[in-house]
Amino acid sequence: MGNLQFIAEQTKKRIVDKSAPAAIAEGFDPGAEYRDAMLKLVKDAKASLAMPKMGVMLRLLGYLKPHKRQVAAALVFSVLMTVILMLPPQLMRILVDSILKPVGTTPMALSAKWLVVIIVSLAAVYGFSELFSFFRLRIMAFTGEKIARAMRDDLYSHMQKLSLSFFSNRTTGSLITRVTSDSDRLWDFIAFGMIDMLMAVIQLMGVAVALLIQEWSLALLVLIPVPIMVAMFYGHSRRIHMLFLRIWRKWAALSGVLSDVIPGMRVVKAFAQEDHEVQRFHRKNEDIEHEAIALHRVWTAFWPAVVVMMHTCTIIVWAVGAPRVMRYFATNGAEGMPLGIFIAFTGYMWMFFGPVQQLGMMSRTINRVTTSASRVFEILDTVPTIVSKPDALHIERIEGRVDFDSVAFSYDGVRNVLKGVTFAVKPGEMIGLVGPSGGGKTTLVNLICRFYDVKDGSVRIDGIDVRDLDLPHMRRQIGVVLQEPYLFHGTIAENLSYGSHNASIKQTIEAAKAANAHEFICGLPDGYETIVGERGQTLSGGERQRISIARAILHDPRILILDEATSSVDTETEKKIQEALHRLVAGRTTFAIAHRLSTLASATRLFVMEEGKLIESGTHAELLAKPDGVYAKLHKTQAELHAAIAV
Amino acid sequence: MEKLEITRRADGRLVMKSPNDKGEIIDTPVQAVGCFPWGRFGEYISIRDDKGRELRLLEKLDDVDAASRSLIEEELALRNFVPRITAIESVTDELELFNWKVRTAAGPRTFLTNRNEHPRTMPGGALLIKDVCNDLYVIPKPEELDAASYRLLWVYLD
Repeated sequence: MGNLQFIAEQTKKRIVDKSAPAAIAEGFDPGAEYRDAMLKLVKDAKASLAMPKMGVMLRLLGYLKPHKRQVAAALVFSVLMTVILMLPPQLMRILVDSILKPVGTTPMALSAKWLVVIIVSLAAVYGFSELFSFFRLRIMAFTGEKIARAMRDDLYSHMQKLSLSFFSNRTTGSLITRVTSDSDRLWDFIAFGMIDMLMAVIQLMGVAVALLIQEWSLALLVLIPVPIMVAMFYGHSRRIHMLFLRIWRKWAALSGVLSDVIPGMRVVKAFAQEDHEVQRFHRKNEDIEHEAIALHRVWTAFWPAVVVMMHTCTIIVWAVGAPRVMRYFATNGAEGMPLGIFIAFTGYMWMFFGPVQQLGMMSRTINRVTTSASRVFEILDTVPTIVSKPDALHIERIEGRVDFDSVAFSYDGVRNVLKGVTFAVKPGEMIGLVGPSGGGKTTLVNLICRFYDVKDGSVRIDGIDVRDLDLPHMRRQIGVVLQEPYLFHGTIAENLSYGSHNASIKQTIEAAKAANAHEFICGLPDGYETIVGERGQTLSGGERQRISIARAILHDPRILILDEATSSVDTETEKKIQEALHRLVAGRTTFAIAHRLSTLASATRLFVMEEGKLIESGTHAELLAKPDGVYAKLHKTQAELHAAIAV
Repeated sequence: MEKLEITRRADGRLVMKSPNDKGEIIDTPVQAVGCFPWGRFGEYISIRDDKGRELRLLEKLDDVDAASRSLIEEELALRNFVPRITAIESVTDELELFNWKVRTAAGPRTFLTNRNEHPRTMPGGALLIKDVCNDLYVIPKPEELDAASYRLLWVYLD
């Protein structure tokens, strides 16, 4: 990409010195052009920036809304479980201080009775806590799955709404990851992570209270490092978040290489570029290792530091607490701390470190989740640029008139790919689009389909601006046959009726016959039920092409676009395809792009496009009659070339 | 449409009476091919010559006289013959392949399938398994298999 500002300035100069054509000079403001182009980029970039973490979390919580009851139930069970698990140290204290006393201090009968009570209570505590845990896991696992499904559905249906430009800017790999692994990671978090985190907080507070009640001075000693730990976790999570973003980008780059190269394996082999590709992969792979090591360096150092802090607390408690217990025994209970309290205290303290540790791990999970979630939300937040107006018009049956009125179009906002193209095509006409590559032929048909919106001027179908027409309704009446026909994984019959799901079997067969496809289809062992597409039966280019023509015939469009539909097949097949196309174009407005001029013999008129302008138009004979015409020259060159090959 | 008449020649080939270039009625050797061999067996039958040119497309076999019809049905049955699995004894994982030990209506069979070749559920509910040599095996009604076989198959059901 060149420097947009520079190009805009240059154009301005050309306008000032009058070297630019009047069509461009009119109403041209380089400043505004540049600003528009930049704003578009800024807007795109903003969409892909990671959102603030809190915002992302709140939005994730929003997905819980439809499942309020389940979430509430799971929360209640979790809280019950946490609370009930606070009891064992208390039971321990009672056991040590009131039951397991030296002989003679308490009548044995009472102790034995209380022992049973304590043991039964402990069993009940564990039993109930596991029961609550079961309910909570079951409820949240199911709910999480529902939410993940909703999110995948949202993502995919939103993706389908997005304009083509969105997909040309992103790799297939990274989009697939968002629907699959990112949404799965969110499930994990919604189902388990979120409640785990909440429980950890509840447990932390509960234990802190319990510790303070048991022995406040000792409790303070244990609680002092907590703010330090919180600060550590915070700093750690921020660092990790950045590292995760980087790692994810490196992974996306690696899967980008894979999804780019694997389909192009033939080219790689043909050019003997295996080593080059290995190197390319190697570099991306190395990047991942690099980033991963940076990440591991951070967390591997962090965890031992946290554990050391926790153990320091234990040592302090032992150092301070144990002498007090000794004093208690020495003074026969007059001073110091009873053994039961000391034991209960150590028990609570371990329960206290559990959640701290868990929260620490959570910071990692949260980071992964927020990165995943922001990537998911990035797609959901992208606004489709090409949409129907609310009051869009429905034309029941398009006649097929197509008008371009001084159409200008640009992909990047500055360099115009189409410059003031004007023409009128009557219903049923077949227009051949010819001219050198990059002349704007494909852009022109893209505008008819409204894959993009014009920058200036208007494209009208049946006299109505395409921007005023209902988009799906309009596109349903436009058929496209591409150079590389795309077959989806499924049977041939399914592929044929793609876009016309109500077609009867008879219609399907008729269409296949018209496209000269029926005979070869019946020759396949599974006939129309042959699976094609990825992992399916391999079909030749010509066969795929005929299937896609049959698909278009069945679709019965009013406006037809043939994009190099015959360029990649042998002469015999081309004849069959030509026959098929002949039947297809009958009675429809057709725009056919072709490099081989011979394939446009049946065109009503030819449009010659060069550098984004429509420079000649007319019938084959009219254009040949122009001695200096571009078409005449093209025709002569091709005829010579043909003769040379024939010799 | 003129009447379709199919007979069996002395060498066992099916032939159809049809006019040649000179307008004489001659016997043309033909094949009967189902356009939808799985979902619509016995419908949309393409009668083709040996070069694969379609001579006739029969939507239904009702339109054909009884003798021709039974010949076409025989041919289709032969063409679509696929061993019918009656029980599955074992499915084991061998390197990158699955080794199936099954019992079919025609006796016990063993075959290998590719790891990524999943049994295909046909429109009528039948399950079609393709082995590494592209040979097919069919389970017409998976739910009617015995419990042990069904358990082995269950993993592969949609």
